[in-house]
Amino acid sequence: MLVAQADVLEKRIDFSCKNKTLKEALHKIKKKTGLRISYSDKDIEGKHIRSFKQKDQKVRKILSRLLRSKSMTYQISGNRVVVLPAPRIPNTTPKKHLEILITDDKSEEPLPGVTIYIPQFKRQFISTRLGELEREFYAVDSLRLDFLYIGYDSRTLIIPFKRDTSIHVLLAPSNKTLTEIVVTAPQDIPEKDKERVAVITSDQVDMLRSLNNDRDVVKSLHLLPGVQSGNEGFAGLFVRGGGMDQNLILLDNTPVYSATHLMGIFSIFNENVVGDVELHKNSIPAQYGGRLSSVLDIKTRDGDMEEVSVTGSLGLTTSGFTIEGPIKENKTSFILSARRSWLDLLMPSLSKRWLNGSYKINGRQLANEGEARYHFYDLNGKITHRFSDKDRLSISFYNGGDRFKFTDKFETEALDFQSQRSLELSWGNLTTSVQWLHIFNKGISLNTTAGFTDFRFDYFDYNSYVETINTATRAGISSVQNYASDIRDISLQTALNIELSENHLLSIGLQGVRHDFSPGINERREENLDTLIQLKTNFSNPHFQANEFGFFAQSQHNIGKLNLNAGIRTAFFSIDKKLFSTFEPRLSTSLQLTNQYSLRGSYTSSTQFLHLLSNPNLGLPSDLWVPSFEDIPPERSWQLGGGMVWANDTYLFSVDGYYKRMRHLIAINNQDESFLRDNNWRNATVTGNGDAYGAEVALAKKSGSTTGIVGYTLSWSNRQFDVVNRGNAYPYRHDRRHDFSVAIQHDFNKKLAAKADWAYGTGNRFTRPISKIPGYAAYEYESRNRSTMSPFHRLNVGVVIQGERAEKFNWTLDIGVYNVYNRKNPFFTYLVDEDDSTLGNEFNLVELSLFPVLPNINYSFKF
Amino acid sequence: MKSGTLHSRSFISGLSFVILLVCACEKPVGIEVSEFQKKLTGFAHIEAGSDSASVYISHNHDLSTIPVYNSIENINFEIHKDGILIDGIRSSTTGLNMGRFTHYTLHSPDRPFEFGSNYSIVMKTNGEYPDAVAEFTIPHDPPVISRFESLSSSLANEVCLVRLNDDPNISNFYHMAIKAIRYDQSPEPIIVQNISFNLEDTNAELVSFNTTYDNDWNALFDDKKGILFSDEFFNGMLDKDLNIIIPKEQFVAAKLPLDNWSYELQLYSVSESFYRFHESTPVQNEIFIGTPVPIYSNLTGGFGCFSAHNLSVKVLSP
Repeated sequence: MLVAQADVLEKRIDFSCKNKTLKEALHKIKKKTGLRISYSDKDIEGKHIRSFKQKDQKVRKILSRLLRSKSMTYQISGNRVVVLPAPRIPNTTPKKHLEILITDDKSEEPLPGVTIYIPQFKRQFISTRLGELEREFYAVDSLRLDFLYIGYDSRTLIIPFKRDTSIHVLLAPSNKTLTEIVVTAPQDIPEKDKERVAVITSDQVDMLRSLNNDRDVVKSLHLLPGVQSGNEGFAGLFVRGGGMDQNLILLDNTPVYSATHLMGIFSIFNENVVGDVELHKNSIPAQYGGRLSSVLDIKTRDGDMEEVSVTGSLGLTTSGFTIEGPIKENKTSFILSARRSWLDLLMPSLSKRWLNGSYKINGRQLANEGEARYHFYDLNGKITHRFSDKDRLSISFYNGGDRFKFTDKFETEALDFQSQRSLELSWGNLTTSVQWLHIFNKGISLNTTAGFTDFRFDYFDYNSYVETINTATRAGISSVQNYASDIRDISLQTALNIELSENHLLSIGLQGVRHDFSPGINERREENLDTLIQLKTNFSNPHFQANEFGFFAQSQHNIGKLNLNAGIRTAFFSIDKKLFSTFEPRLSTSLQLTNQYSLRGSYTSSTQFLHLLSNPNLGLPSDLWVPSFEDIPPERSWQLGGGMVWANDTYLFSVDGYYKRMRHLIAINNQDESFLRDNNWRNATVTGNGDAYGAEVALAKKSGSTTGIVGYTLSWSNRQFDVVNRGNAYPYRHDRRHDFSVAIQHDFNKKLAAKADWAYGTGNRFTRPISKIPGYAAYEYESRNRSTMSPFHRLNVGVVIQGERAEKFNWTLDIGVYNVYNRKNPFFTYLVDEDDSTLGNEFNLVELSLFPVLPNINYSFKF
Repeated sequence: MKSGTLHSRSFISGLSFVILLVCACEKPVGIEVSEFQKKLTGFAHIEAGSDSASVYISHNHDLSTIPVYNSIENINFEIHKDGILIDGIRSSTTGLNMGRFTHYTLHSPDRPFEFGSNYSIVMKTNGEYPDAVAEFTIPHDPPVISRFESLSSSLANEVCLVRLNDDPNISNFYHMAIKAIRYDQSPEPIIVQNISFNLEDTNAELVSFNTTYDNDWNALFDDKKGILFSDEFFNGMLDKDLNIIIPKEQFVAAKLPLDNWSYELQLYSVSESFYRFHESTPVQNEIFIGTPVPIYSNLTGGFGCFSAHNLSVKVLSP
């Protein structure tokens, strides 16, 4: 029985009580666990518990903390737990025990990695994965504790510390829009986080919702220095002079190959399920590989283990619905979320107005009916199961895509001629991952992920015409053209984390990926309606398979004021009897000069085995991911970075500089990149080099009713290809000399906040036509990307109103205006050539802009 | 057009539509001509074995003004064959103004343009324009059509089989055109018309070259119909069977009868420069949101395309 009681004490439960007597609290524990608890009414009489909450905690600790707060303790006697008054500790005892539990003030989730700073002792500690800290200190009258955590309001507590003390600290998410300023990695954030260049938590993402009511995680990153959108209003990611394909985007440890909808206007990440978000751009930790510029690591959150809840949102462009809750309380949970765009409700009527009409073709009067439809959707799901304290399994999936359909019909009034066309485009991602976390014992854990990801693009084009000849004979042809491209990965990775000491974490891991590339399969079928002769043709790029294997080792070590993160990564990529290998040293370090000043530096070497044949402006779904070959070697880069950070509880200021060198970048020679590749893409692909360098400055106010961030980036990014621009180096299309943004939020009270942001950036580079060549119907162009489009700048404003209709029904109303002063920011530039030999020639260079002033409204609720 | 481009046009049309629905608006910006330099533009397409060549000369113009095309007269032409200057080449005129172009006819009565030789033509204008040098190769032998026969005929399509022979040791480039010919009682045809057709691979391995090109300048082909392709798809094979599909819709539209046509298959072996030039023009013309690419030119110091061809003909009677 004693053994059984001990088992119960080790069991993890959630426990909370509010305004109860200690007796009632003990009774609740007894009822919840079956634990036999004995006590003397006299000992516990008059002891009240104002508020006590523990989540997923061992009964032993719950009991200990509960009783310690009331100067009580317990002993196991026989088959019972006996509650006793705590023994008086002699004043001569030099050290006392301090036990701290830190949780989110709303969700009660333990907060790992919180920095706890104790000025008296000049000591700094980090909370464990369970949000705990246990240490012994010399007893003092009062102990000051500073709590610092990314995305949360800093908090300072002064507690009496003359005896063993247990406290529960609740940290509130920083109710500010711009707390992602942690990009500058202040010296006060946890040591293990110092390597992180940018870390945004899901709570911050909620706060960072953009004024168009899409709380888009990717768009929120654009406020960070060194991160660009590519085009104003788009969700592309261009980091420190790199291309859109140079970012490794992970969803639950599984790569996502196309992370945007509607050519890049929306990201695929549904804010309702986004959990932890990390962006690495200064230095990339050794566990990540395969891209040159950055890593965006997005984890979906677990479903609630205790209660079922429903979240919904209604916006002008998209709406979503999320349900989550326990399958088995405190053991298994689920979360299911769906999001869909509304554009297809509007498009048919608009497109009909545009397409329908009457035309005269070849002497016949034809009536035309046409319609276009478009929508995108996202489905996310996750099941999490805790087998035990040491094993946890989660299975997550994502399926999302875009669908575009265009139909067009011409016919004569007599119906002796009919022509029909149906064009369908669809593209999307499917990802699945199974993640298993196993804790061997204190300080050693194994994290294993099996993943599957698939990105597919399909094109279907049906054409037919039927004609009646001589009133009796019918002639016609129907044809179907299919095109499909696909990239598919199956991966397995595992990482072993060993805490050698409280200041030293060692990680080693293995990764294996099987890539399947189908970079373009065409099929054409044609049927003669008269003779029924059928023609069928297939032509395609070859299908490729490649295997990638990687190994990494990484050491995070705090040596006094020096934080050192050193790692190596080696990887092998085999394809077509060719083996590529890479050895990538990574180093990131920071030195804390004073409590407020710190310096940091990093070196990152990276290799990218996959290339994207893409349109340089947009995230077109027709872009093709292709592997490295002997004639198209892997892209490689190294980056050197350094910076300084000054921070206190309220303000943060940082300056960073970087230089990045890239080799074997690819480009398409003498091909229009906006189109699908034909079969000789390997012949048309050329390789070259690039470099990027710049400085980033950020200033943020992190706390108070008014918060804000100011960011500025000065940067250069160049490319050089032997066969492009006559071999001369030229500016990269996204070479943006100046990039400035400022964003402010003011909280009037807990229910009302106003926010505004303004951004300015040098226009994108483009190549200007300078002369027309007769006979070509074409132009002579200046040197590549010599010109810049007009600069973009845009002001957004909005208010957020929060309310409560019932005890458990919360709602939020976002009202805003996008592009308040209707700035026509250039999306791309093109030449209008109204060439007419009888009237003379007229040329106009025209900038096309997409987003005028737009009102936004979004209503979301949770119950 | 190429199949990839075929997709792309439709695809981009669709996406353009989506973009336009998102309230796109336009704003003119200035034209700058800081790098503009006036240069010669020249085109010529020479028949192998011929002793004359038509050369069309013009110049580029900047985009900031309404262009005025000046007649370019008194050009001195120097023709080099395999690096050796050929004497006795003369221009028939001092330049015939044809609007945008000035037309020259070069005569070389004793020195026809030889199969397989490399030529360079230097054009000098006494400093008015920078000298321009065109370099090109006359294709080797005429192409070989070993079979041309009908597979099926209906009111909708005429399907023919054509077998081409290719020398795998050298790169060959072809232009294919078809004329529909209709005879009445007399031996002279009463109708001759270039027609549209599709070309497909019978082995279902590769079809990517149903390319009908279209450009302002046209020195070779009457009405711009035809298919231009390289021998890449031969994959080193000596023979290649292809299906030619002639849609009868075009006869209906022209109010012509559907049957009893003879088809004359014209297969040109063309210079690589001709292929590269026509391959690059639609690319630049179709640029919508991509990066502009320079158009192909084999004129150093100017713009244009000088090329040559050999012709083979085979007729399929009804």
